[in-house]
Amino acid sequence: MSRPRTSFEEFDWHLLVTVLLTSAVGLLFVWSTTHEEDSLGLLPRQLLFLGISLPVTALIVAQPPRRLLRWIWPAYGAICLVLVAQLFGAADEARGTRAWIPLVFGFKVQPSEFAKVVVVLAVADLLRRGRRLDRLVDLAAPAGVVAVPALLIAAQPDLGGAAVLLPVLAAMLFAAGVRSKLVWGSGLAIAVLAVSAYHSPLVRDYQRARVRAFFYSIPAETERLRELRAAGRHEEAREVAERLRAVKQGTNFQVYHSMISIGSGGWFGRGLGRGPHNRLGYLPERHNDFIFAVIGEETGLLGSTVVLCLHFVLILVLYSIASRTRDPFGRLLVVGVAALFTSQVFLNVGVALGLLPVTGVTLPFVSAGGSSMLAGYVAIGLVLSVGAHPVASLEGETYEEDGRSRAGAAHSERASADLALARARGDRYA
Amino acid sequence: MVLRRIRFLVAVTALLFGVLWIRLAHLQAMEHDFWEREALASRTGGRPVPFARGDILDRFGRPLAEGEIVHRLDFVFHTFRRETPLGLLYGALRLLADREPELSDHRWTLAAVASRSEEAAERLLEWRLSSIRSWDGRARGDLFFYARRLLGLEEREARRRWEKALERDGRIGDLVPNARARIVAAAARQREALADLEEALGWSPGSLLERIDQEVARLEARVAAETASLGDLSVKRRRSVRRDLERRPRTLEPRAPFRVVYLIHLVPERYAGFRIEDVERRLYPDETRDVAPLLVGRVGAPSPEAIERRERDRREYLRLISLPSERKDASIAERIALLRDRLRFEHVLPDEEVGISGLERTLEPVLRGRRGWRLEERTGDRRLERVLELVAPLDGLDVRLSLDADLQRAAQEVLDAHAEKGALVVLDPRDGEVLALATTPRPTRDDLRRRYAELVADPAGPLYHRAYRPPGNPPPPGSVFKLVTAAAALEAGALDPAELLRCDGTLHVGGTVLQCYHRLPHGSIDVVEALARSCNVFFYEVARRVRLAPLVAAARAAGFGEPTGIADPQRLGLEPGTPGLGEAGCPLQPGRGLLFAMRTAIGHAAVDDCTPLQVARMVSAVANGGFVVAPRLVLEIGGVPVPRAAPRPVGWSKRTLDVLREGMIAAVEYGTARPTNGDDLRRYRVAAKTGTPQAIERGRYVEHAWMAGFLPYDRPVLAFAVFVEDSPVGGGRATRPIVAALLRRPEAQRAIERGLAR
Repeated sequence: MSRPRTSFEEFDWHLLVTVLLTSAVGLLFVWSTTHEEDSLGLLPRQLLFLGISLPVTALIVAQPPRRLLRWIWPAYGAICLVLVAQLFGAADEARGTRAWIPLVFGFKVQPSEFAKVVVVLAVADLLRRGRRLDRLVDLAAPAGVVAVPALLIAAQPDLGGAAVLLPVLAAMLFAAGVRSKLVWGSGLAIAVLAVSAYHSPLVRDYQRARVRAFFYSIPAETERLRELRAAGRHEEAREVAERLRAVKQGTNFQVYHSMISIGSGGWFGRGLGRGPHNRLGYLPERHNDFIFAVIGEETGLLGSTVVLCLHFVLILVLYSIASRTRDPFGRLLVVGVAALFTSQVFLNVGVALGLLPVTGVTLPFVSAGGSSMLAGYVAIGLVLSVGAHPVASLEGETYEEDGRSRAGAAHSERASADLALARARGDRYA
Repeated sequence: MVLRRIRFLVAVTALLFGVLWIRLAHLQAMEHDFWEREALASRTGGRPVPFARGDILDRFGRPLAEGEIVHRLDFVFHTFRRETPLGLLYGALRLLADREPELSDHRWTLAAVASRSEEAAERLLEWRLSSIRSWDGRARGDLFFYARRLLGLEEREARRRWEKALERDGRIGDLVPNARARIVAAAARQREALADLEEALGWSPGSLLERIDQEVARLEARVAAETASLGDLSVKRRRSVRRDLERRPRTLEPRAPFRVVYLIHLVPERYAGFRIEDVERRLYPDETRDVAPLLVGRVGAPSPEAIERRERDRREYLRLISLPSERKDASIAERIALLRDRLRFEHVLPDEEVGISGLERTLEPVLRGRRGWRLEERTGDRRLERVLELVAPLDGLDVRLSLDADLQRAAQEVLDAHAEKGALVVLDPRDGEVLALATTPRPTRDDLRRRYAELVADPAGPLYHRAYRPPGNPPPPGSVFKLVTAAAALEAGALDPAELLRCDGTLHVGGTVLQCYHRLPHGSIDVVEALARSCNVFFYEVARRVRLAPLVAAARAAGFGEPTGIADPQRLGLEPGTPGLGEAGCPLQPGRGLLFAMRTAIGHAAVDDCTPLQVARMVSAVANGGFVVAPRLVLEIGGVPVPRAAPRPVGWSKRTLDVLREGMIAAVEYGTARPTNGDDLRRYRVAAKTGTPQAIERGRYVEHAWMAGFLPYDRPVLAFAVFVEDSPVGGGRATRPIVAALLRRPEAQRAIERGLAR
């Protein structure tokens, strides 16, 4: 028997084109945020990362998704080990976080970015067998699989990286058919928990203050200041002005300048590489965490809408692939990747727009950084592979192929179970 | 079911993206204007651009006062304490010392923190977090801030570790590994930076921090003084007092060398807390510094009223710009523009210098320029990126005075050498230009700066310029006035120039005995000799003939009873209400009767008050052929000549004037100003009249000494008046050496030559 062919009729060009377009936008803004008069900034580096990412994607696309199965858990274990090792000081503490591991030639790698993809794979593998997900205990295994790396990432500390994983888990469980009551119930529980947590004695005052600071509206306070001054109440106005200044320069510094950048962009922006807030360096981390602010400033509502649309289309294409995929593993994988991108985009852009507290999540394919880009392309590669091998995986040919491997027996068992399940559910996909 | 669920996920995704997009559109389309303003406000800032104050020049353009722009090195403790390793360490240790006095063995200063940073770091790092549990929240917050910034921790992370350390009963040093080495290294880097600054300033090593310690001690004393009345209740108010005082820049070096400017502008973050301000400062050049400090005056801090005026306008401005746009009609917009311009360009800033005395104050409106203003765009790390808008400053106008700096110095030195109290005026009789205006005792600029209070209390009145503003009662002109009496009599036809009158040394009028000086009889003398010998009896007789009214009229015509208007703001074209030099007007005294007329005739009674400047003007009229000139002190403002007031004819005939002149020449030849002890005024062809008025000063009988005259008598180019207050010897004997000494000076000779050449 021959190697299963990658089916290019089924290959999803829309996805690749969207991702490449998004990456192109990313390159533009990486240039815009980091170039100097005599240098291209991080652009060459970013191009290099793209150059590494594309062949890796091709390599993954050529593999039928099933072939990955036996690597999932070793990879999961390995990544957890790396995350644990990181906690014990393997990484530099210069920036107050242990998210990075130095690699050769001064390149550093951020394992948490890959961990996200591995978690998606692991959860997809857990859920593909179509066990019932009716009771709360049924959720324990997938929740545990997510919780371990999520907590490790949160301890780095990278709360944003951990927060990204929760919606991923939720979406995958939901797609895997968790009972609706559980969905609504947990949603309600989270809301109640959040409200009561705010009022509980467990939450410290400064944390509450931070929440309040988050709801502090600079335009509203500026308006109040204006009114006080107009009324000639200068003493009160002075206090409001002091507080405003403190907020602008202190707690909300990054978000304030991000909102300035975006708001001052207006309809059409100031032109690529010409945003004053960008070029004068008012935004820390403007080439990765706050790159959307620069997009807003330099291309205005038009450009930022285009970027949002690119991500939206990307995610839509992912969901359309998911709905076409009959293999549960592949489908869950694609849903997971879609949810991963959704929550990353939402967390990143939401922070830039002042909707969410600062978390430090990158914008997929746009933010500068090799780990994030490579992990994104690996995820896209997996999805494309799922898209390109729809029949093969469904009919289990690969299993016969792989049957010679050490884990062959187990695999064929699983494969036949999957086949049975797929057939049992087949009518539903029609 | 699966498809439905995926559709549901798609819907959720669409919802999330919708939320993002709506927020995006809200910011970019609806709130755009607000954020655009914020963007501009956060990147840009307006700064005043100093103007150069106008120079005050002497008649030859030599500067008496110059405006120049200097680089001032300022220090802001608030920034230094919060943003530099040494400042943070110091702040933390002081906080610990304040809170736990029994545990701190040492009162740390910045110098100590710098020189023993290892020990200082140790002190802080060994501190147990649990021991601050009892502190109030603010103090805890402060300590947390210091520790976090010193250890370079991001706030959130620092908070986490702080909590953790607190649970384990840890120390501050447990927050990060190697904390001490970190702090010590940072302190060493800052020490290096400060050493560079010291070198650039030319200060000795270590002196910078000592100086800062002094400033900090002063600041603490000030905080203590200002909060003493607050009581324990208002912690918040107390903190805000401290913060305001800490934020106020303190000048470390008024004129920093350019190397300092370069260092600080090159790497501002290396010198957090230090600032360079370009400021305009008054410079009094060494050569002319002390030739006329009272007349030129000085500059100082603006008055509280001026500051208050600015604050009022600032508040009104803030209120008006805050009005909702629909209420901003044209008149309000106009008012806003007016207030903005005033605040930007005109209002005196607290750190500006304004004229507070003398010509500096009178000429303030013209010497003071108009500030410029510039809108700067700065980068995220507060470096200057570019200047967006620039309104260039208008420098103040230069003022050229009629003073001859050399002659002024000579006159001042001569006067200082010969008299304890007195004045010396030299002017050009032809146009009234004042060439020298000396007074003694007089302070130097250093005196004015260092011992002003002493000068105010000094009974000798060193702050009064006796030439135009005598302290206490102005002196009577005495016999100098006999020139006017003679002129009045000659003009009235009451006296013939050749007529002889008899003097027996005393004269009985009613029950009063009037007398000549020392009761010496002069015999039968004519008016020329009477002027030369200053015979009282002769002029009593004249008074008896002419009566009071013509005498008073003549006095008025000769310029007595009214100020000379030297540097009169109105005449200089300045706004009414501008403070002048405070010239004494010396109004004529009312009185009647023969005795009053007689005493007026010899320069008392009706003319009991006068100034040397008035006397010099009177003799100028004799010298210039009968014109009462308006003394001019300011020749040009901004290169434009100040219009001269037309001289007023005194109304005396040439015959009369010739007689007066003859009398004055005779006085120098053989009369009261005759040569003695080698002081021969004839050599300089001086015509002069002396006077020795008597007065009661603070209950004591005193005699003053006068001499007024001009030279050369055949073509007068200089007129002068010398006045010695409370002189131990009579008129001529006291004043002759002064005039002779002045005329011996080459500066005087040059002035005469120049006068003759004009």
